Amino acid sequence: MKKFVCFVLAFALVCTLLSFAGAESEEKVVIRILSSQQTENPEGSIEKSISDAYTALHPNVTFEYISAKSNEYIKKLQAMGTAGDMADMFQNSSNNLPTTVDLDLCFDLTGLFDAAYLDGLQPQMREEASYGGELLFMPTQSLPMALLYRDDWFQEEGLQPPETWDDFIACAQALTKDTDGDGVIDRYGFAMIATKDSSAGTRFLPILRSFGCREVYFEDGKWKTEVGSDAFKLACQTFADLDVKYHVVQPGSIETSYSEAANLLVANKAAMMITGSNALGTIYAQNPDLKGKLATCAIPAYTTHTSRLGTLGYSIYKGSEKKDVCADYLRFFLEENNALKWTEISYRVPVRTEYYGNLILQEKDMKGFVDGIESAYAWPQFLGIAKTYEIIGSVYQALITGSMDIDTASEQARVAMEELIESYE
Amino acid sequence: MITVNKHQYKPVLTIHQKDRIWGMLFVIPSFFALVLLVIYPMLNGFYVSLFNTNLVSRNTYVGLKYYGQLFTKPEFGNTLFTSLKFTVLVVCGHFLVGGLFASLLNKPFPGRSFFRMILVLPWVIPEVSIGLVWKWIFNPVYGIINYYLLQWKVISEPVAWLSNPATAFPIVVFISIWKGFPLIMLLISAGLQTISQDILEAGIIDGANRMQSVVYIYIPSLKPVILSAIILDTLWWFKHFTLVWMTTAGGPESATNLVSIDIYKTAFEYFQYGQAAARSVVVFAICLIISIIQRGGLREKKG
Repeated sequence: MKKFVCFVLAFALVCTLLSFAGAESEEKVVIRILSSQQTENPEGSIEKSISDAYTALHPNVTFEYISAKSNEYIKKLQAMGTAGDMADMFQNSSNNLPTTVDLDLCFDLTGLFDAAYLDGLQPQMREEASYGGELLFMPTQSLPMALLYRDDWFQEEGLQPPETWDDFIACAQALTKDTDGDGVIDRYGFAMIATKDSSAGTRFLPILRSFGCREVYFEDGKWKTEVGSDAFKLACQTFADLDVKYHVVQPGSIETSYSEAANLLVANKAAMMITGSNALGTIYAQNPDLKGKLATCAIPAYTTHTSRLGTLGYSIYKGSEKKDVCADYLRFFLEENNALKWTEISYRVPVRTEYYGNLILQEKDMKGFVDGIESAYAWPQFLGIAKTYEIIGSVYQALITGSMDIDTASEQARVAMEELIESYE
Repeated sequence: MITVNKHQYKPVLTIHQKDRIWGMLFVIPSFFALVLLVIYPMLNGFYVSLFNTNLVSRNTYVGLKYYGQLFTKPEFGNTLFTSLKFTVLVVCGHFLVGGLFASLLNKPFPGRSFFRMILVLPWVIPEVSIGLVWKWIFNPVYGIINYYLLQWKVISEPVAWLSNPATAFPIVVFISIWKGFPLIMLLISAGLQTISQDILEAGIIDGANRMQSVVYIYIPSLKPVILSAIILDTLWWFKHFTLVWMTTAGGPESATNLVSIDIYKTAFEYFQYGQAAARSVVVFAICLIISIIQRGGLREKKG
């Protein structure tokens, strides 16, 4: 009997010790994520639901979000980098990548994922997430740029989606109307964003490319520009003419932000808008009646169709001690059911090509965005891109306000671009 | 016999010296706070202006290059001129509107407290809210201004007020005057209430008419208040950012591009902290000069 009691006690002791050992191997891990999507709806809740699902599978891993509004995001990142208080993971994008490279924050993810897994990423999106051969953020979604238009109004007017800029102007003229007959135009062919910030810049640069002009490009080991060329002048003049010559845009295009332009579509006051796929989520959330009435096609061409991918994803901070857990979470984030949540709820395009058969992506309001991927160009990884928006924006604004002619404005922009490139060399 | 040196019990420190030591001890916390919160950031700002830096990983010494660029390229000069023009117009507007309302409120009439409360409201509302509200009032598609002007047939099509350099700048000045006049009104009101009734009555007895009372009694009595208010208002609006950023963000083109907006964009949109710091140092020097000139004027008048 004594032997039996001793055996039971010894067994209990071993079990207790093992349980302690087990607890030690299940060490609590808190992953801090800096994200601008937490401030947005429904993006914030999708992001949170995925991390909650990961915690349900791995109870020892929890997530702590640090949120920053998208227009304040890069400043927050900079402040955290300066203070040495970086999160383990932070949201990154093709637009912000040069800045995060300059800040030396990103860890090369190539070693954390096997080659076959990385080969499943859409190649251009993978390229946009890479710098100097290193994968500096894991792309998780993209917002390709396309022309969003009111398909029902196009059908009423017997219009075809525009192929060229001449077609576009003709469509915009046909759709600009005084619908209530009070003598004042109240429906505009095109919701134009002509500010001098990233909102307008990310839309105008693909237009510039469609005229065959590169705002900046890297060649022979240095940055160069085609600002000031004939193609540049033609693109800026055509864009400004939509307002000053053809009168097919809303008044005040110079002060119209993305949200105001989207609101014009929501309020049935505009027929077309150049935008990323996420605009669908914004528009449908405010006016669900528009479902089935919107369609997309490629940005009109002068020399070529073009698009901007707008790749988004997460970087792992190079100083983080939890890189393996972060990498595992990113793999989970990109599993089909999680990746497609972004498409279904927020109209983002997935980054893994195996998901492109999804029916949502084939619908007429998403198809133009997905088709645009093929004609997309790699976003320039130029540190001075924000200033580029300002310089080029000054040209079309000068044409819209009539303060300068195209030759003077274009020459000023060329000099400013060359000085900008020199200042970042 | 024990002899006592009459100087033996003389205190080591005099009362005056003790007071000085205690005084210095009390000043030390404020001195450190001043060094930490004002002197160090200013010196660090100057130090940063000597580098091409992102404050984290890039730090290249460029010397006084950015200062040289400021004085050789016209852009910074243009933003300074816009800021000066903006400041002069806004401060003059504050004194005109604030002075007018202060003189009206100085007279007793029914509901005076109510009107005083209403007139102070623009000053109480946060600048961000005011900027957004006015932006929507002047919105070309949905704005109330265009709505009524169209209704009354004053205009035949919507006007983009904030997209035209000729109208954007005056509108921004108008909004800034509307926002800031209550402070000047309150200061002048307080000054008016300190003017002795005896002096005013003496003026009347001596045969002073209304204009003479204003020139020889009111203005001299209000000079200290007016000069202090001018210094505060000038420095405040020369550095102003929020209202203009919210309504026009410095546009259209560069019509409302104040020096504060230029510095903000250079630092936090283009991440050229060295250039932004150089601009800030120059703006600090300008503010210091304005302050010295105005303080000199104040001292002269007091003397």
